[in-house]
Amino acid sequence: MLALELDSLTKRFGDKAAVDDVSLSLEAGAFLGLLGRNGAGKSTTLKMVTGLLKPTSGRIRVLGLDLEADSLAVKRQIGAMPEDMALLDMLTGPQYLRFVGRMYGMPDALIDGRREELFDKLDLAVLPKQLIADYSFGMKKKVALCAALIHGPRIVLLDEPFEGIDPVTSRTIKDILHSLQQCGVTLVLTSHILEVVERLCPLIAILDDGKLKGFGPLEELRHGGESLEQLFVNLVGGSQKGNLSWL
Amino acid sequence: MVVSPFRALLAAHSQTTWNQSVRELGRQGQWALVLTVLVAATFGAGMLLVGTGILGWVLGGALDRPILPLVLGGMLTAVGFGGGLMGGVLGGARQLAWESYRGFPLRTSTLYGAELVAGFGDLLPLALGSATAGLLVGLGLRVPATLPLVPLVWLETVLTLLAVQLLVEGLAGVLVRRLRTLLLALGILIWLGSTLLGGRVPAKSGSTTAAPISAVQVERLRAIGTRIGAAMEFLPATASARSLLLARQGRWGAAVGAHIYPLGLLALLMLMGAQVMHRETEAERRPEKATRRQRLWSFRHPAEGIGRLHFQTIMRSHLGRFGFLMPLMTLVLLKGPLTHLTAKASWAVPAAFAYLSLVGNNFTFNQFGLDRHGVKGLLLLPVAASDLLKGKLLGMAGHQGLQALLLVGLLGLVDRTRPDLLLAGVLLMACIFLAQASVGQWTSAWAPRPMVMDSLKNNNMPFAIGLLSIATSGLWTGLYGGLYALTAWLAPGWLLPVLALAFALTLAAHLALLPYAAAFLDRRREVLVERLG
Repeated sequence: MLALELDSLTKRFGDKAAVDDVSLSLEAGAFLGLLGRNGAGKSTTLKMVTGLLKPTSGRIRVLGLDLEADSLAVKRQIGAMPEDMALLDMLTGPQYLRFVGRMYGMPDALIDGRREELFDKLDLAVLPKQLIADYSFGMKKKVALCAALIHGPRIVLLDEPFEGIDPVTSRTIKDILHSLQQCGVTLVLTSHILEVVERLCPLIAILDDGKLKGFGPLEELRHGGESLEQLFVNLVGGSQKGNLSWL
Repeated sequence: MVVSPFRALLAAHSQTTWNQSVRELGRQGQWALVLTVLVAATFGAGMLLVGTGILGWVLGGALDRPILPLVLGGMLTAVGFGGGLMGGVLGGARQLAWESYRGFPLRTSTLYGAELVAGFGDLLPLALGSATAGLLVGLGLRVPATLPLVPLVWLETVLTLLAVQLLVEGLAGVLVRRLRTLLLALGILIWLGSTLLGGRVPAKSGSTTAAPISAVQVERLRAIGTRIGAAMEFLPATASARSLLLARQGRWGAAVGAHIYPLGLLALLMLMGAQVMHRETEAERRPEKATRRQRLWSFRHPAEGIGRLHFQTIMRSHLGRFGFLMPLMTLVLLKGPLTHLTAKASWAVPAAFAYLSLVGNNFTFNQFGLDRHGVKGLLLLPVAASDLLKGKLLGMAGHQGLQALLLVGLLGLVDRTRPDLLLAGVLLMACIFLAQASVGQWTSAWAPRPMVMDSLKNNNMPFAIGLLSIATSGLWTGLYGGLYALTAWLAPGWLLPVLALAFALTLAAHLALLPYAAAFLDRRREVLVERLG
């Protein structure tokens, strides 16, 4: 069964096409790394898949369900960590996760149990009355990740999950993502850290200026054993700009 | 135990409110506040309930009089629609950040229901809801036959208030995204307002003393009264009020049937509010259009640069844009009725300017609120604290100055107010603004709270600061308004020089206090970064 299908997906903001006629499909249990330069359309694509943005044209199907027609059923299957995290920062971490769990119809005892396990795995030690507003960036990122995973989604979409995360936690997150994949969860992540994507994601999609420049297994995409960085630069272009004139 | 999303949303609302209070006031300050609120609520609500209960008892005694359903209908409309309008304009509706909802599998109806109920947890709906309860229970006790319908009438009124509050806030949010649309709406409202006021107010003579009311004016007032009475017959709340009379007469079928109209209208209001909310949750951020080259950082003095930056920040915020509706609302809601109610129409002009100076309290009492994370960048600049405060003052003065100009234009066009009175009004407004800004420089460093740029929601001041702003607003309005009144009474020809002198003295006092406020700001830098950064 296909977990995710994007069919001629387009998103325009005025005259600018942020995502331009993107089509791809993922099997259940796939792990896709979505790459692109800043403003290439990665976050816009993820926002459309999570229902945060409406496509200008094209269709999205998640686990066989049409996102437009059945958005609530789709949202129940998805766990997402958006770029700006969008947390309710006047709640404490445990209060926020209770809120999120309840939104998915989970009983409080189950929410608390999973929260403790997630906090433990991610080394998230918070003071009982500390508000999310007072967390460090990395702590907020971990809470957002917990919120994306707590209800046991079938598809997980993560926008820059490793940004601002310490190396030890980064390793833990990678382990969690691996175990999710082994359980048949479909994963899509965006990252600018190519080494991480190269090690984690068997599937790669590269966006540039809203267009899909390359999609497929990493091994098939790179010809002659070139690195992901080289492949990326070849596909999206890029040039040496030289040193700063005043240095 | 599984908790429904509806209850989860309400729980998040109350937790957010409580946590925010703890953060801003600290545990001790919070207990002091709880105690104050409890004492005020016990005595205030008690007096409110008893007072409105007595009023209801009196009205119940006159239930058979034909005018009574109109009077009661008018009162319930004032609570439902007036209270809702005021709550919406003041940003009273309690809403969590939309961005946090949009990913969840939530039905719009659940979201709307929870936001509607959460809206009741604010001071205005609580006070108006209690007053309505007192009124209706008093009436019910006097006329026991009406008691079975009292809960329904109360529920209709309070739900109308909450629905209008959410709708107004949602619509205002949609409007302020486009200043051009806002100005068009403003034009329509001007036309509506001047039409509703029954035409242009006659030009005033040079004298500020009361002229005897003429027979023509009495006739005009009577005609207005007849028109208002006829219009009120169509109000949904009048139908609710009439149902009480029908219940007393034992005509239960007709009494219940009378509620079809108000309930239908309430359903329509809710549907519209839910639709606006649905659109808002689906809303998407468009990338900012490329604007002409900014010259934010070309200035002769740092305060000038900070001022320009702050002015632009305010003008880009929804709350700042919404401020441009205030001159119009001042004209329609305050100046017009004052002119009709009192023969001394000239008092209406200073009252309008004084009111306008106070509606910017959200900015003056929380001067760094819109900077949010940007406060770190601001505090990193090699700029003295006094220049920061001066810059903030300049930015706010620009914003309020434009509003004052708009009010001057409106009063000149619609009301043909004399230029000297307009200038005196502007000076009065400037005095109150400067005095409020002086206090605001302290509160902004003492209890900063992040404000939202692209929404009208949740921009209220912390409760303690809100109380302080009410107190100082009263003080400055009394002080400068009193000076205005005294001068206009004793030596009208000296009005402008006296107010100009008052302005100069206020400015001097403001500048004298500035170093102390700047030193306080320096001591509170860490708090600003912690709360806003």
